[in-house]
Amino acid sequence: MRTELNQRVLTGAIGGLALLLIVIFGGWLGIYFLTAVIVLGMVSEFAKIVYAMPDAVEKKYALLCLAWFAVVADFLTRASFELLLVSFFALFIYFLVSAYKYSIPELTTHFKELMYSVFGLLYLVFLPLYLPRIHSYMGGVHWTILFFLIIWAGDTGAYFVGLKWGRRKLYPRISPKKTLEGALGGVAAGWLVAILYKMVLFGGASWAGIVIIPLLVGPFSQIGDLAESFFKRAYEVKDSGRILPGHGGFMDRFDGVVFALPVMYATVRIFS
Amino acid sequence: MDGNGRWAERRHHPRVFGHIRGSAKIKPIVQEADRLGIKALTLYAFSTENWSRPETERSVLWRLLKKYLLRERDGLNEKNVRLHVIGELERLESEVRAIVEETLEMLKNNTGLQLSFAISYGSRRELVRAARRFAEDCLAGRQVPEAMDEDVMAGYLWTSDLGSLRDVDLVIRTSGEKRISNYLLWQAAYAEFSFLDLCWPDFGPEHLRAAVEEYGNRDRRFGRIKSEN
Repeated sequence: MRTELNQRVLTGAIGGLALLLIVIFGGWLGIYFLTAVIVLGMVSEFAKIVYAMPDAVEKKYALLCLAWFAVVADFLTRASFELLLVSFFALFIYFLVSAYKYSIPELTTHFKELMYSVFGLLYLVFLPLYLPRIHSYMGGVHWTILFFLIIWAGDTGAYFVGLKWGRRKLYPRISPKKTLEGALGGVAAGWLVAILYKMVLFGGASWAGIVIIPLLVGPFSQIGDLAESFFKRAYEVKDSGRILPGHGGFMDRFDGVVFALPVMYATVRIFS
Repeated sequence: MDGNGRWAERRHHPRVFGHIRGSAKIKPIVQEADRLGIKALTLYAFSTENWSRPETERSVLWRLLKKYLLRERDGLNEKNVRLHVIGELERLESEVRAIVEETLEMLKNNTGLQLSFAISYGSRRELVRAARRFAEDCLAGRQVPEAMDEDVMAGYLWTSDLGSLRDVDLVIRTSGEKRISNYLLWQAAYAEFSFLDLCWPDFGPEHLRAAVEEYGNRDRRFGRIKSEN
Protein backbone atom coordinates (compact mmCIF):
# COMPACT_ATOMS: atom_id res chain seq x y z
CA MET A 1 0.00 0.00 0.00
CA ARG A 2 2.76 2.36 1.04
CA THR A 3 4.80 1.84 -2.14
CA GLU A 4 1.69 2.25 -4.23
CA LEU A 5 1.07 5.61 -2.62
CA ASN A 6 4.71 6.59 -3.21
CA GLN A 7 4.48 5.54 -6.81
CA ARG A 8 1.29 7.52 -7.15
CA VAL A 9 2.90 10.64 -5.67
CA LEU A 10 5.96 10.28 -7.88
CA THR A 11 3.98 9.81 -11.10
CA GLY A 12 1.71 12.64 -10.06
CA ALA A 13 4.61 15.01 -9.41
CA ILE A 14 6.38 14.27 -12.70
CA GLY A 15 3.20 14.22 -14.76
CA GLY A 16 1.82 17.34 -13.09
CA LEU A 17 5.06 19.25 -13.62
CA ALA A 18 5.23 18.25 -17.29
CA LEU A 19 1.62 19.28 -17.73
CA LEU A 20 2.18 22.67 -16.11
CA LEU A 21 5.30 23.29 -18.23
CA ILE A 22 3.28 22.64 -21.37
CA VAL A 23 0.50 24.92 -20.16
CA ILE A 24 2.95 27.73 -19.33
CA PHE A 25 5.45 27.52 -22.18
CA GLY A 26 3.74 25.44 -24.82
CA GLY A 27 1.46 28.13 -26.14
CA TRP A 28 -1.41 27.36 -28.41
CA LEU A 29 0.24 24.37 -30.04
CA GLY A 30 1.29 22.94 -26.69
CA ILE A 31 -2.19 23.04 -25.20
CA TYR A 32 -3.65 21.30 -28.25
CA PHE A 33 -0.89 18.71 -28.03
CA LEU A 34 -1.78 18.14 -24.38
CA THR A 35 -5.47 17.88 -25.25
CA ALA A 36 -4.71 15.38 -28.00
CA VAL A 37 -2.66 13.19 -25.65
CA ILE A 38 -5.38 13.16 -23.00
CA VAL A 39 -8.18 12.60 -25.54
CA LEU A 40 -6.45 9.79 -27.40
CA GLY A 41 -5.45 8.10 -24.16
CA MET A 42 -8.99 8.18 -22.83
CA VAL A 43 -10.61 7.15 -26.10
CA SER A 44 -8.42 4.09 -26.51
CA GLU A 45 -9.22 2.93 -22.97
CA PHE A 46 -12.91 3.57 -23.51
CA ALA A 47 -12.87 1.61 -26.77
CA LYS A 48 -11.13 -1.29 -25.12
CA ILE A 49 -13.81 -1.48 -22.45
CA VAL A 50 -16.98 -1.08 -24.52
CA TYR A 51 -16.38 -2.81 -27.85
CA ALA A 52 -16.91 -6.56 -27.91
CA MET A 53 -17.70 -7.48 -31.50
CA PRO A 54 -15.08 -9.22 -33.67
CA ASP A 55 -14.13 -5.91 -35.26
CA ALA A 56 -13.44 -4.27 -31.88
CA VAL A 57 -9.93 -3.35 -32.93
CA GLU A 58 -11.09 -1.67 -36.14
CA LYS A 59 -13.74 0.23 -34.22
CA LYS A 60 -11.15 1.38 -31.74
CA TYR A 61 -8.95 2.76 -34.50
CA ALA A 62 -11.93 4.36 -36.22
CA LEU A 63 -12.81 6.17 -33.02
CA LEU A 64 -9.19 7.17 -32.43
CA CYS A 65 -8.98 8.56 -35.98
CA LEU A 66 -12.11 10.60 -35.41
CA ALA A 67 -10.81 11.85 -32.07
CA TRP A 68 -7.56 12.87 -33.75
CA PHE A 69 -9.46 14.53 -36.57
CA ALA A 70 -11.68 16.41 -34.11
CA VAL A 71 -8.76 17.77 -32.10
CA VAL A 72 -6.73 18.82 -35.14
CA ALA A 73 -9.74 20.29 -36.91
CA ASP A 74 -10.71 22.14 -33.76
CA PHE A 75 -7.19 23.55 -33.65
CA LEU A 76 -7.60 24.80 -37.21
CA THR A 77 -11.23 25.92 -37.23
CA ARG A 78 -12.60 26.18 -33.68
CA ALA A 79 -15.96 25.11 -35.02
CA SER A 80 -16.61 22.39 -32.48
CA PHE A 81 -20.33 22.03 -33.02
CA GLU A 82 -19.93 21.44 -36.74
CA LEU A 83 -17.04 19.07 -36.02
CA LEU A 84 -19.23 17.10 -33.67
CA LEU A 85 -21.82 16.74 -36.41
CA VAL A 86 -19.19 15.74 -38.97
CA SER A 87 -17.79 13.14 -36.54
CA PHE A 88 -21.25 11.78 -35.83
CA PHE A 89 -21.93 11.59 -39.54
CA ALA A 90 -18.64 9.82 -40.21
CA LEU A 91 -19.23 7.31 -37.41
CA PHE A 92 -22.71 6.55 -38.67
CA ILE A 93 -21.43 5.89 -42.17
CA TYR A 94 -18.52 3.82 -40.89
CA PHE A 95 -20.86 1.60 -38.87
CA LEU A 96 -23.27 1.36 -41.77
CA VAL A 97 -20.51 0.24 -44.12
CA SER A 98 -19.08 -2.26 -41.65
CA ALA A 99 -22.53 -3.74 -40.93
CA TYR A 100 -22.42 -6.06 -43.95
CA LYS A 101 -20.50 -8.74 -42.05
CA TYR A 102 -23.12 -9.21 -39.36
CA SER A 103 -26.28 -11.26 -39.29
CA ILE A 104 -29.58 -9.68 -38.30
CA PRO A 105 -29.44 -10.49 -34.54
CA GLU A 106 -25.84 -9.34 -34.37
CA LEU A 107 -26.75 -6.01 -35.88
CA THR A 108 -28.36 -4.99 -32.59
CA THR A 109 -25.01 -5.12 -30.85
CA HIS A 110 -23.30 -3.48 -33.79
CA PHE A 111 -25.78 -0.62 -33.66
CA LYS A 112 -25.40 -0.31 -29.90
CA GLU A 113 -21.68 0.02 -30.39
CA LEU A 114 -22.38 2.93 -32.75
CA MET A 115 -24.29 4.57 -29.92
CA TYR A 116 -21.48 3.93 -27.44
CA SER A 117 -19.14 5.56 -29.92
CA VAL A 118 -21.23 8.71 -30.10
CA PHE A 119 -21.32 8.78 -26.32
CA GLY A 120 -17.54 8.37 -26.24
CA LEU A 121 -17.11 11.24 -28.69
CA LEU A 122 -19.20 13.59 -26.58
CA TYR A 123 -17.72 12.54 -23.29
CA LEU A 124 -14.06 12.04 -24.12
CA VAL A 125 -13.40 14.23 -27.17
CA PHE A 126 -15.73 17.20 -27.18
CA LEU A 127 -15.81 17.96 -23.46
CA PRO A 128 -11.98 18.04 -23.26
CA LEU A 129 -11.88 20.51 -26.16
CA TYR A 130 -12.75 23.19 -23.59
CA LEU A 131 -9.18 22.98 -22.36
CA PRO A 132 -7.70 25.02 -25.25
CA ARG A 133 -10.67 27.36 -25.02
CA ILE A 134 -9.87 28.24 -21.43
CA HIS A 135 -6.20 28.53 -22.31
CA SER A 136 -6.81 31.03 -25.12
CA TYR A 137 -9.13 33.23 -23.07
CA MET A 138 -7.83 36.43 -21.48
CA GLY A 139 -5.35 35.45 -18.79
CA GLY A 140 -5.90 31.91 -19.99
CA VAL A 141 -2.53 30.51 -18.92
CA HIS A 142 -3.23 31.56 -15.37
CA TRP A 143 -6.78 30.24 -15.47
CA THR A 144 -5.58 26.93 -16.87
CA ILE A 145 -2.95 26.54 -14.17
CA LEU A 146 -5.48 27.51 -11.54
CA PHE A 147 -7.92 25.01 -13.00
CA PHE A 148 -5.51 22.11 -12.57
CA LEU A 149 -4.47 23.33 -9.14
CA ILE A 150 -8.12 23.38 -8.03
CA ILE A 151 -8.63 19.84 -9.32
CA TRP A 152 -5.45 18.45 -7.79
CA ALA A 153 -5.95 20.22 -4.49
CA GLY A 154 -9.51 18.95 -4.54
CA ASP A 155 -8.42 15.32 -5.07
CA THR A 156 -5.73 15.50 -2.43
CA GLY A 157 -7.92 17.38 0.04
CA ALA A 158 -10.76 14.93 -0.47
CA TYR A 159 -8.41 12.00 0.06
CA PHE A 160 -6.92 13.21 3.32
CA VAL A 161 -10.06 14.80 4.78
CA GLY A 162 -11.98 11.65 3.89
CA LEU A 163 -9.30 9.48 5.47
CA LYS A 164 -9.39 11.46 8.71
CA TRP A 165 -12.98 12.56 9.11
CA GLY A 166 -14.90 10.58 6.51
CA ARG A 167 -18.05 9.01 7.97
CA ARG A 168 -21.05 9.47 5.74
CA LYS A 169 -20.87 7.71 2.42
CA LEU A 170 -21.34 9.93 -0.60
CA TYR A 171 -22.71 7.40 -3.10
CA PRO A 172 -21.80 3.84 -2.08
CA ARG A 173 -23.61 2.18 -4.98
CA ILE A 174 -21.24 3.89 -7.41
CA SER A 175 -18.11 4.46 -5.37
CA PRO A 176 -17.97 2.69 -2.01
CA LYS A 177 -15.08 4.61 -0.50
CA LYS A 178 -15.94 8.24 -1.18
CA THR A 179 -17.40 10.18 1.73
CA LEU A 180 -19.40 13.37 2.02
CA GLU A 181 -16.78 14.79 4.39
CA GLY A 182 -14.08 14.07 1.82
CA ALA A 183 -16.07 15.78 -0.90
CA LEU A 184 -16.51 18.91 1.22
CA GLY A 185 -12.83 18.81 2.16
CA GLY A 186 -11.93 18.66 -1.52
CA VAL A 187 -14.01 21.70 -2.37
CA ALA A 188 -12.53 23.59 0.58
CA ALA A 189 -8.98 22.68 -0.47
CA GLY A 190 -9.63 23.88 -4.03
CA TRP A 191 -11.08 27.09 -2.69
CA LEU A 192 -8.06 27.80 -0.46
CA VAL A 193 -5.65 27.09 -3.29
CA ALA A 194 -7.50 29.51 -5.56
CA ILE A 195 -7.28 32.31 -2.99
CA LEU A 196 -3.61 31.61 -2.36
CA TYR A 197 -2.93 31.56 -6.09
CA LYS A 198 -4.52 35.01 -6.53
CA MET A 199 -2.55 36.46 -3.64
CA VAL A 200 0.81 35.08 -4.77
CA LEU A 201 0.79 34.94 -8.57
CA PHE A 202 -2.41 36.17 -10.12
CA GLY A 203 -3.20 39.58 -8.65
CA GLY A 204 -5.16 40.53 -11.76
CA ALA A 205 -7.94 38.04 -11.14
CA SER A 206 -11.22 39.41 -9.86
CA TRP A 207 -12.20 38.43 -6.33
CA ALA A 208 -15.64 37.38 -7.54
CA GLY A 209 -14.07 34.90 -9.93
CA ILE A 210 -11.55 33.56 -7.43
CA VAL A 211 -14.20 33.03 -4.78
CA ILE A 212 -16.97 31.58 -6.96
CA ILE A 213 -15.07 29.53 -9.56
CA PRO A 214 -13.63 26.87 -7.24
CA LEU A 215 -17.03 26.44 -5.59
CA LEU A 216 -18.45 25.35 -8.94
CA VAL A 217 -15.42 23.65 -10.51
CA GLY A 218 -14.66 21.57 -7.42
CA PRO A 219 -18.07 19.88 -7.16
CA PHE A 220 -18.21 19.26 -10.91
CA SER A 221 -14.83 17.61 -10.82
CA GLN A 222 -16.20 15.28 -8.16
CA ILE A 223 -19.32 14.63 -10.20
CA GLY A 224 -16.95 13.74 -13.02
CA ASP A 225 -15.17 11.24 -10.76
CA LEU A 226 -18.50 9.66 -9.93
CA ALA A 227 -19.54 9.65 -13.58
CA GLU A 228 -16.46 7.67 -14.51
CA SER A 229 -16.97 5.31 -11.56
CA PHE A 230 -20.52 4.82 -12.82
CA PHE A 231 -19.14 3.83 -16.22
CA LYS A 232 -16.54 1.50 -14.72
CA ARG A 233 -19.06 -0.04 -12.35
CA ALA A 234 -21.44 -0.72 -15.22
CA TYR A 235 -18.67 -2.58 -17.07
CA GLU A 236 -17.18 -4.11 -13.91
CA VAL A 237 -13.65 -2.86 -14.43
CA LYS A 238 -11.42 -1.64 -11.63
CA ASP A 239 -9.01 0.66 -13.46
CA SER A 240 -9.63 2.01 -16.93
CA GLY A 241 -6.03 1.26 -17.89
CA ARG A 242 -2.53 0.82 -16.55
CA ILE A 243 -0.60 3.58 -18.26
CA LEU A 244 0.03 5.83 -15.26
CA PRO A 245 1.74 3.96 -12.39
CA GLY A 246 -0.35 4.26 -9.24
CA HIS A 247 -3.11 6.23 -10.94
CA GLY A 248 -4.69 3.65 -13.24
CA GLY A 249 -5.45 4.88 -16.72
CA PHE A 250 -6.09 8.17 -18.44
CA MET A 251 -9.79 8.01 -17.72
CA ASP A 252 -9.14 7.45 -14.02
CA ARG A 253 -6.91 10.48 -13.91
CA PHE A 254 -8.81 12.92 -16.10
CA ASP A 255 -12.40 11.94 -15.29
CA GLY A 256 -12.92 14.93 -13.01
CA VAL A 257 -11.02 17.23 -15.37
CA VAL A 258 -13.32 16.35 -18.25
CA PHE A 259 -16.47 17.26 -16.35
CA ALA A 260 -15.06 20.38 -14.76
CA LEU A 261 -13.63 21.90 -17.96
CA PRO A 262 -16.86 23.26 -19.47
CA VAL A 263 -17.87 24.61 -16.05
CA MET A 264 -14.50 26.29 -15.70
CA TYR A 265 -14.82 27.84 -19.13
CA ALA A 266 -18.31 29.17 -18.44
CA THR A 267 -17.44 30.56 -15.02
CA VAL A 268 -14.23 32.17 -16.27
CA ARG A 269 -16.18 33.91 -19.00
CA ILE A 270 -18.81 35.12 -16.57
CA PHE A 271 -16.72 36.11 -13.57
CA SER A 272 -13.26 37.09 -14.75
CA MET B 1 -13.95 -22.21 -18.99
CA ASP B 2 -17.70 -22.33 -18.86
CA GLY B 3 -20.28 -19.60 -18.42
CA ASN B 4 -18.75 -16.64 -20.23
CA GLY B 5 -21.78 -16.15 -22.43
CA ARG B 6 -24.21 -16.56 -19.56
CA TRP B 7 -22.20 -14.17 -17.43
CA ALA B 8 -22.51 -11.51 -20.12
CA GLU B 9 -26.16 -12.17 -20.90
CA ARG B 10 -27.06 -11.83 -17.25
CA ARG B 11 -25.59 -8.34 -17.46
CA HIS B 12 -27.30 -7.52 -20.75
CA HIS B 13 -23.98 -7.42 -22.55
CA PRO B 14 -23.43 -9.35 -25.78
CA ARG B 15 -22.10 -12.89 -25.24
CA VAL B 16 -18.74 -12.09 -26.76
CA PHE B 17 -18.22 -9.53 -24.03
CA GLY B 18 -18.15 -12.42 -21.58
CA HIS B 19 -15.52 -14.20 -23.63
CA ILE B 20 -13.32 -11.11 -23.55
CA ARG B 21 -13.64 -10.92 -19.77
CA GLY B 22 -13.17 -14.66 -19.44
CA SER B 23 -10.01 -14.67 -21.49
CA ALA B 24 -8.52 -12.07 -19.17
CA LYS B 25 -8.92 -14.63 -16.36
CA ILE B 26 -6.62 -17.19 -17.94
CA LYS B 27 -3.44 -15.41 -16.97
CA PRO B 28 -4.13 -15.08 -13.22
CA ILE B 29 -5.43 -18.66 -13.05
CA VAL B 30 -2.35 -20.05 -14.78
CA GLN B 31 -0.14 -18.02 -12.47
CA GLU B 32 -1.97 -19.27 -9.40
CA ALA B 33 -1.80 -22.87 -10.60
CA ASP B 34 1.94 -22.49 -11.04
CA ARG B 35 2.26 -20.92 -7.61
CA LEU B 36 0.26 -23.73 -5.99
CA GLY B 37 2.68 -26.24 -7.49
CA ILE B 38 0.13 -27.82 -9.81
CA LYS B 39 2.00 -29.82 -12.43
CA ALA B 40 -0.57 -29.94 -15.20
CA LEU B 41 -3.48 -27.67 -15.98
CA THR B 42 -5.90 -28.22 -18.85
CA LEU B 43 -8.34 -25.52 -19.85
CA TYR B 44 -11.37 -26.43 -21.89
CA ALA B 45 -11.48 -23.60 -24.38
CA PHE B 46 -13.57 -24.92 -27.24
CA SER B 47 -15.43 -28.18 -27.70
CA THR B 48 -16.20 -30.08 -30.88
CA GLU B 49 -19.83 -29.04 -30.28
CA ASN B 50 -18.91 -25.37 -30.09
CA TRP B 51 -18.47 -25.27 -33.86
CA SER B 52 -22.21 -24.73 -34.00
CA ARG B 53 -21.84 -21.33 -32.30
CA PRO B 54 -22.45 -18.33 -34.57
CA GLU B 55 -19.57 -17.31 -36.77
CA THR B 56 -19.04 -13.97 -34.97
CA GLU B 57 -18.77 -15.61 -31.59
CA ARG B 58 -16.25 -18.12 -32.93
CA SER B 59 -14.17 -15.46 -34.61
CA VAL B 60 -13.95 -13.56 -31.33
CA LEU B 61 -12.78 -16.72 -29.58
CA TRP B 62 -10.03 -17.27 -32.14
CA ARG B 63 -8.99 -13.66 -31.91
CA LEU B 64 -8.76 -13.96 -28.13
CA LEU B 65 -6.75 -17.16 -28.37
CA LYS B 66 -4.31 -15.52 -30.77
CA LYS B 67 -4.02 -12.48 -28.57
CA TYR B 68 -3.47 -14.55 -25.46
CA LEU B 69 -0.70 -16.60 -27.05
CA LEU B 70 1.07 -13.64 -28.64
CA ARG B 71 0.89 -11.60 -25.49
CA GLU B 72 1.71 -14.25 -22.93
CA ARG B 73 4.13 -16.66 -24.56
CA ASP B 74 7.26 -14.83 -23.48
CA GLY B 75 5.99 -14.70 -19.92
CA LEU B 76 5.07 -18.38 -20.04
CA ASN B 77 8.50 -19.19 -21.36
CA GLU B 78 10.13 -17.29 -18.51
CA LYS B 79 8.02 -19.28 -16.06
CA ASN B 80 9.18 -22.51 -17.73
CA VAL B 81 5.60 -23.38 -18.74
CA ARG B 82 5.14 -25.90 -21.50
CA LEU B 83 2.12 -25.66 -23.75
CA HIS B 84 0.06 -28.51 -25.20
CA VAL B 85 -2.99 -28.40 -27.36
CA ILE B 86 -5.46 -31.27 -27.30
CA GLY B 87 -8.14 -31.43 -29.95
CA GLU B 88 -8.55 -31.12 -33.67
CA LEU B 89 -5.91 -28.50 -34.27
CA GLU B 90 -6.22 -29.13 -38.00
CA ARG B 91 -9.72 -27.67 -38.03
CA LEU B 92 -8.50 -24.20 -37.02
CA GLU B 93 -8.01 -21.62 -39.71
CA SER B 94 -4.43 -21.45 -40.86
CA GLU B 95 -3.55 -18.11 -39.27
CA VAL B 96 -4.60 -19.16 -35.78
CA ARG B 97 -3.05 -22.56 -36.25
CA ALA B 98 0.26 -21.06 -37.28
CA ILE B 99 0.41 -19.01 -34.09
CA VAL B 100 -0.55 -22.00 -31.96
CA GLU B 101 2.14 -24.13 -33.60
CA GLU B 102 4.74 -21.41 -33.26
CA THR B 103 3.96 -21.12 -29.56
CA LEU B 104 4.05 -24.89 -29.05
CA GLU B 105 7.45 -24.96 -30.72
CA MET B 106 8.72 -22.06 -28.65
CA LEU B 107 7.75 -23.62 -25.30
CA LYS B 108 8.44 -27.26 -26.13
CA ASN B 109 11.59 -27.65 -24.03
CA ASN B 110 10.09 -26.25 -20.85
CA THR B 111 9.71 -28.54 -17.88
CA GLY B 112 7.52 -26.57 -15.46
CA LEU B 113 3.74 -26.37 -15.46
CA GLN B 114 2.23 -28.38 -18.32
CA LEU B 115 -0.50 -26.08 -19.62
CA SER B 116 -2.93 -27.60 -22.10
CA PHE B 117 -5.67 -25.93 -24.06
CA ALA B 118 -8.50 -28.16 -25.20
CA ILE B 119 -9.42 -26.66 -28.56
CA SER B 120 -12.04 -28.29 -30.73
CA TYR B 121 -11.83 -31.11 -28.23
CA GLY B 122 -14.33 -33.84 -27.56
CA SER B 123 -13.58 -36.99 -25.62
CA ARG B 124 -15.60 -39.29 -27.84
CA ARG B 125 -13.88 -37.95 -30.91
CA GLU B 126 -10.55 -38.51 -29.18
CA LEU B 127 -11.40 -42.13 -28.41
CA VAL B 128 -12.75 -42.78 -31.89
CA ARG B 129 -9.63 -41.28 -33.38
CA ALA B 130 -7.44 -43.40 -31.11
CA ALA B 131 -9.28 -46.56 -32.13
CA ARG B 132 -8.94 -45.68 -35.79
CA ARG B 133 -5.24 -44.96 -35.49
CA PHE B 134 -4.64 -48.18 -33.60
CA ALA B 135 -6.49 -50.12 -36.27
CA GLU B 136 -4.43 -48.41 -38.96
CA ASP B 137 -1.25 -49.33 -37.13
CA CYS B 138 -2.44 -52.93 -36.92
CA LEU B 139 -3.11 -53.03 -40.64
CA ALA B 140 0.29 -51.52 -41.33
CA GLY B 141 1.90 -54.16 -39.18
CA ARG B 142 3.18 -51.76 -36.54
CA GLN B 143 0.80 -53.10 -33.88
CA VAL B 144 -1.02 -56.30 -33.04
CA PRO B 145 -4.51 -56.33 -31.46
CA GLU B 146 -3.25 -58.30 -28.43
CA ALA B 147 -0.91 -55.44 -27.54
CA MET B 148 -3.81 -53.15 -26.69
CA ASP B 149 -3.99 -52.34 -22.99
CA GLU B 150 -4.60 -49.24 -20.94
CA ASP B 151 -1.12 -47.83 -21.45
CA VAL B 152 -1.14 -48.37 -25.18
CA MET B 153 -4.58 -46.79 -25.37
CA ALA B 154 -3.40 -43.76 -23.41
CA GLY B 155 -0.57 -43.41 -25.89
CA TYR B 156 -3.04 -42.94 -28.72
CA LEU B 157 -4.90 -40.12 -27.01
CA TRP B 158 -4.22 -36.42 -27.55
CA THR B 159 -2.93 -36.24 -23.99
CA SER B 160 -0.19 -38.79 -24.69
CA ASP B 161 2.74 -36.38 -24.41
CA LEU B 162 1.71 -35.43 -20.88
CA GLY B 163 3.20 -38.77 -19.78
CA SER B 164 2.37 -39.70 -16.23
CA LEU B 165 0.50 -36.42 -15.77
CA ARG B 166 -2.24 -37.37 -18.20
CA ASP B 167 -4.48 -38.82 -15.50
CA VAL B 168 -6.60 -36.04 -14.13
CA ASP B 169 -6.82 -35.52 -10.37
CA LEU B 170 -9.37 -32.74 -10.17
CA VAL B 171 -11.94 -31.40 -12.59
CA ILE B 172 -13.38 -28.00 -11.81
CA ARG B 173 -16.46 -27.07 -13.73
CA THR B 174 -17.72 -23.51 -13.49
CA SER B 175 -21.16 -22.06 -14.30
CA GLY B 176 -23.24 -24.44 -12.19
CA GLU B 177 -23.59 -27.21 -14.78
CA LYS B 178 -23.15 -30.66 -13.30
CA ARG B 179 -22.13 -32.64 -16.36
CA ILE B 180 -18.85 -33.89 -17.79
CA SER B 181 -19.84 -32.78 -21.28
CA ASN B 182 -17.50 -35.02 -23.21
CA TYR B 183 -14.39 -33.82 -21.41
CA LEU B 184 -11.40 -36.07 -20.73
CA LEU B 185 -13.62 -39.13 -20.15
CA TRP B 186 -10.73 -41.57 -20.20
CA GLN B 187 -8.29 -39.38 -18.34
CA ALA B 188 -10.73 -38.35 -15.61
CA ALA B 189 -11.70 -41.91 -14.69
CA TYR B 190 -10.65 -41.40 -11.06
CA ALA B 191 -10.82 -37.63 -10.92
CA GLU B 192 -12.50 -35.72 -8.17
CA PHE B 193 -15.10 -33.21 -9.28
CA SER B 194 -15.77 -29.75 -8.09
CA PHE B 195 -18.83 -27.99 -9.44
CA LEU B 196 -18.97 -24.26 -8.85
CA ASP B 197 -21.91 -21.98 -9.36
CA LEU B 198 -19.62 -19.20 -10.51
CA CYS B 199 -19.30 -18.34 -14.16
CA TRP B 200 -15.76 -18.39 -15.53
CA PRO B 201 -15.28 -14.58 -15.57
CA ASP B 202 -15.98 -14.57 -11.82
CA PHE B 203 -13.65 -17.50 -11.14
CA GLY B 204 -10.53 -16.10 -9.50
CA PRO B 205 -7.27 -17.45 -8.11
CA GLU B 206 -8.88 -17.65 -4.66
CA HIS B 207 -11.48 -20.10 -5.98
CA LEU B 208 -8.81 -22.27 -7.55
CA ARG B 209 -6.94 -22.28 -4.26
CA ALA B 210 -10.09 -23.23 -2.35
CA ALA B 211 -10.89 -26.06 -4.77
CA VAL B 212 -7.37 -27.46 -4.51
CA GLU B 213 -7.49 -27.27 -0.73
CA GLU B 214 -10.81 -29.05 -0.65
CA TYR B 215 -9.42 -31.69 -2.99
CA GLY B 216 -6.51 -32.21 -0.60
CA ASN B 217 -9.00 -33.11 2.13
CA ARG B 218 -10.84 -35.72 0.11
CA ASP B 219 -10.09 -39.38 0.56
CA ARG B 220 -9.05 -40.84 -2.76
CA ARG B 221 -9.28 -44.62 -2.79
CA PHE B 222 -9.10 -45.55 -6.50
CA GLY B 223 -11.64 -48.30 -5.89
CA ARG B 224 -9.83 -49.72 -2.89
CA ILE B 225 -10.87 -49.63 0.76
CA LYS B 226 -10.03 -46.61 2.89
CA SER B 227 -6.37 -46.65 3.77
CA GLU B 228 -5.47 -46.87 7.48
CA ASN B 229 -2.97 -44.30 8.65
